[in-house]
Amino acid sequence: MSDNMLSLAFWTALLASAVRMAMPLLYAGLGEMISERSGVLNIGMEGVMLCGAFFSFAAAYYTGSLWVGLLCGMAGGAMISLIHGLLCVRGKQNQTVSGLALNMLALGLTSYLYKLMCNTGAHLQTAVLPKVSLPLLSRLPLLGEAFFSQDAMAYIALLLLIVIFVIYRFTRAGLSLSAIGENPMAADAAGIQVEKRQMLCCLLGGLLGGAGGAYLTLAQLGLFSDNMTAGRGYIALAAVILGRYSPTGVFLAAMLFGLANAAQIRLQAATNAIPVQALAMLPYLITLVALLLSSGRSREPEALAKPYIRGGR
Amino acid sequence: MKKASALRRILLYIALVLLAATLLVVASGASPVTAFSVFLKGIFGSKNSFCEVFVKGTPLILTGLACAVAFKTGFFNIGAEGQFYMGAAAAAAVALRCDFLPVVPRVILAFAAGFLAGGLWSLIAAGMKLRFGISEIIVTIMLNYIAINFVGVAVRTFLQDPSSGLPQSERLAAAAVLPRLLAGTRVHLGFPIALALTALVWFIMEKTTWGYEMRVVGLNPRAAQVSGISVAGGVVRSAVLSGGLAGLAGVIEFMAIQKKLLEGFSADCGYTGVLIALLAANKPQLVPVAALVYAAAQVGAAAMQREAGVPSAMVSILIGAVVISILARAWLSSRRKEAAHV
Amino acid sequence: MALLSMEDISISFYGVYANEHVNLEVEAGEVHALLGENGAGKTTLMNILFGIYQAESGRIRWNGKEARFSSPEEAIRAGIGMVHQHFSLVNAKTVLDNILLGYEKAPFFLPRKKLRRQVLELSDRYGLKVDPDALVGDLSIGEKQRVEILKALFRDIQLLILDEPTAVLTPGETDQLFQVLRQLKQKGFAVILITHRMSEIMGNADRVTVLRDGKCVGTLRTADTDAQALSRLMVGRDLTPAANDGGEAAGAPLLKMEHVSVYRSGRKRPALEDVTLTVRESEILGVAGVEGNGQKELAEAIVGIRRRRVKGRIHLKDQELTGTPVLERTRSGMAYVPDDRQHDALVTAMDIGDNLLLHDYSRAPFSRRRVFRRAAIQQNAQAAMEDYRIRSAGSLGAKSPVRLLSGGNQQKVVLAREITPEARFIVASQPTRGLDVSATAFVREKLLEQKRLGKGVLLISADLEEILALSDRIAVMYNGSIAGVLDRKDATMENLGLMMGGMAGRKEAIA
Repeated sequence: MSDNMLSLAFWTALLASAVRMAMPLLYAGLGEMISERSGVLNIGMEGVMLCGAFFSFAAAYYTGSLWVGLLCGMAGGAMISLIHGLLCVRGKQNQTVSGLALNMLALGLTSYLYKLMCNTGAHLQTAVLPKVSLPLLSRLPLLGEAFFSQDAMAYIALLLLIVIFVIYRFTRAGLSLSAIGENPMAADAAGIQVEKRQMLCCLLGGLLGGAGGAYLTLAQLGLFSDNMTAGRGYIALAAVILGRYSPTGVFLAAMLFGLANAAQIRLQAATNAIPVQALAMLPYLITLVALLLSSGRSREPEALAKPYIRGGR
Repeated sequence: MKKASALRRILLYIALVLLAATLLVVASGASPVTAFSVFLKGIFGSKNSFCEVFVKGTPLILTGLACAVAFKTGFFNIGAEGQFYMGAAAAAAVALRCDFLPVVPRVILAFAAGFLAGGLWSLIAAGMKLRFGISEIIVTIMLNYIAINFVGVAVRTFLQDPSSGLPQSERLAAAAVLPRLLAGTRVHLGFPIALALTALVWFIMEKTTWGYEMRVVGLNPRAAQVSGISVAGGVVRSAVLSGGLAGLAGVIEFMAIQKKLLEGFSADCGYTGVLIALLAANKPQLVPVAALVYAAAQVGAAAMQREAGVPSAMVSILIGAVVISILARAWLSSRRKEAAHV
Repeated sequence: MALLSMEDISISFYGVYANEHVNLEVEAGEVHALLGENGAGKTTLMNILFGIYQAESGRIRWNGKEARFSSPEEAIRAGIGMVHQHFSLVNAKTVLDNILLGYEKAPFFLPRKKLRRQVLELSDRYGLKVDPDALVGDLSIGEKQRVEILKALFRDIQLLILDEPTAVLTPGETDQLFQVLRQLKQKGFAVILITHRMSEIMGNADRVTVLRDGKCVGTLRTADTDAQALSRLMVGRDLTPAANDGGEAAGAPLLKMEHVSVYRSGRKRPALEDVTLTVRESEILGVAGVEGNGQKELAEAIVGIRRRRVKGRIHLKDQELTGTPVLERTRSGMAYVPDDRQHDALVTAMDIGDNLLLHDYSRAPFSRRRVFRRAAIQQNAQAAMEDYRIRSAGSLGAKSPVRLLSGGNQQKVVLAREITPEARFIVASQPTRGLDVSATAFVREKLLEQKRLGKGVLLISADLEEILALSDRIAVMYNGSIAGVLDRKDATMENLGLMMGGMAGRKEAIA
């Protein structure tokens, strides 16, 4: 990359790359946001994404259809989050322990199954979602290539972003779902079925997280490797906090992480003066600082990770 | 009577694990008999491989202790990974840059530095929790990434080996390396150190007033407050001890196995330590057992993969499944209790 | 025809009746008070009506038809609204959103502008001023209560139940509330007011139903009765012969509280207001009153758990303990038996021996240089178990985890720990709650023994029988202040009941 750092081409390419890197985080972040706003903390999002990546890959490989792959990936993610929901929402068990155990389970499961696939000796690769440039919009300077010249899943993600935003801001369902995480007793007293909704939000978190994992295989790489999510699930947790539990915030946070990632790659190639790792640290530091600053008026749902027992202490 | 039913429960778990393991082996196309014999030979077959169990187990004992101490006190330390790296980095800084000191004090200082670094790293999360009420789960995870990247920066800048140009530090002076215990194997002084630390931690938690305070704060912070026991004090002490232990894991891995500081050498033992602590029910005396069992499973499974084609990842499946079944069982037994009350 | 008729309602928990054949009848356009002490069954009865519990026997007739509500949703749909003692509001959301939470008749896409107008209309109509766009977390208690009432009214209810609504309000806010209730009455609503405050009933309710020990003891028109009669019905027991026969006369002043007030964050009204109280050696001072009138804050201020927003001075003998931490007060001779033993006094996962150490673990003989000496700990535990006849679980003895012990045995562990030779002054809060007959007798005898040994005891209890049985003097708490102090021999059901219901003038308790 010998582009001049200040040239438009450089920034356009950077932004486009950032959007691509941000997509899995956006999917997972939105899913985790939905889950956390209903009071369920899913540290197992890493496992959710990993299952999404693997099952979408396996399904796409065996059926030849990327869209079947996506559906299977989402189902794989949902499977993990359903177990989490059963244990934590119905079972009132510790959400952190459950999440970590599920991460390990997912890691083992996906590696195991992939190994079995590899044993057949075939060359494992699938096609990748093609880029679709929207007619006029993709010609916009800077933003055009970044946002309007992406693959179908990216467009779906952006649409979902709008839909989720609208639902939470303007609809009855959104009001109920977000109240549960703040004060489940109040929601219960208002006639909202707390446990059912929490399970639903858990499920949605799993579906979206699975899609996020699927993006890695189906839209980016076309192949799978052990532990390919490499911590993105945990980053999604950070994105939710950084984004202050709002859909647009999660989008911006995902973009920040994506930007850091994209910049890392370019910087690494361009210069050896600053270690890229310093840049990689930045989003996490920013998250910590954001936590500190907002601790006075934290947007974290009041009842996050606290199992709700009706009439209990 | 309680002991008998606990034993029965453990046997039941072992039986279920064996059953699940058999299924996984069969699904991968291997014969259970072959697979299991390879597994056992992989562990017990040679002096070297048997000792590998202790080599792999050593950092797990320490991170397991770290997490057990923290969880017992109600401090959910998921940051053992980051504390591991900070400990290793501090030890590297001392061991590699303080050559003006004779070897033995240098090594001791490196250990101390590693313990302190890990402890302070953990204290950040504790401080944010006590002062601002911020959940330590998220903070420790963020600190993990910061620490990992910090090491990445370190091995490319101030700790880099100027002659190699690779992202790693110089080699540790041979005299400073932790000695091997058994010729022909990799088992090193770190293992007995880990056991000694286990005994020390057990002693602190069960026999000293510090441990008592930590346990009270962890089990019932309100009662602690009412009795005048400082909750903040308990959390701080446990955070420092926990982080320090994880830091020592990093120190020992650096000084015994890697002998130079580089990226990614933790093998996720920080995160695994969490599960080990859970399997050991946060009891210090059970941590080495859980850690060595896990390490043995890793060694055996690696052999199984090499020679019988069974994916070694099945160990992770089994461990994850065991913890999940523990949670599920807790759920079912609480339902039974509820039904009894009605 | 009555709007609501609850007939012969009974419900029990763990074998004890909370409501026993209770009858309640409420008409439209009336404010009906439900009067009773703690544990009389008032909230339980209303929880049955509101669908939170299901009655074991009896009938509910609503609008002439038999009804059974199995959830709050059903009750709300039928037209019953309830404002609980502890508000069910989401702090992070606006007033408008809180009112709309769970509102079934709203369309999927909330027409916030229209609904906002409706809320403002409603608030005007009933005099409940609110800002629909304010965050509930920023509101005062009085304002939050208004939101709760609006929430109920917004749902087309016919009957509004309020559970101890004035417990958290200033006098001014209380007046405003009753104005609102008058408006509702005029517009044809029925209101059930759960309360123990007789002063409020006399001025504002049309009829009152009195509950005592789970049974309904009478329904009267307030115009036909007076506070004395109500207080007799509410308290209604013959004076128990005192287990405390007076005996030793009270000695020198031991604990002195002067002008102590306790403030709570975010609330205007202090939980404890200008309390001056003295407990003497060889004396049991009983603090009576319905729970929630400041008793817990009183205990915590004395013992040192609350220090920061506490004004006034506290002395034990000549030693000033104002502002000192708990440990110092314990070392000076204060002992505390909290009302919530499982959360405040014990670590239930630990064993008996360890629980006995909670104050003294760092001193000899239990530990030396921070290391425990198990022999001394065992000895101490054995002695305590013998002295207090603590029965452990199975054969584990002192190693039994406390959570396996019965309530009575748990309380004995607390007493064994707190009542040491060094303890000169004991604060005992609801000490026999949840205990069986023999454990109760044991605890009471222990407290009397302390008096005989020359110690001072502050006994806080919502159980009047207990207060009457044990106290030399009785102080009654109401609304954060001492309503009055009497010698035991001057105490009658009437004057105690009046003070508990807020009908007596405020008096200061001076030794």
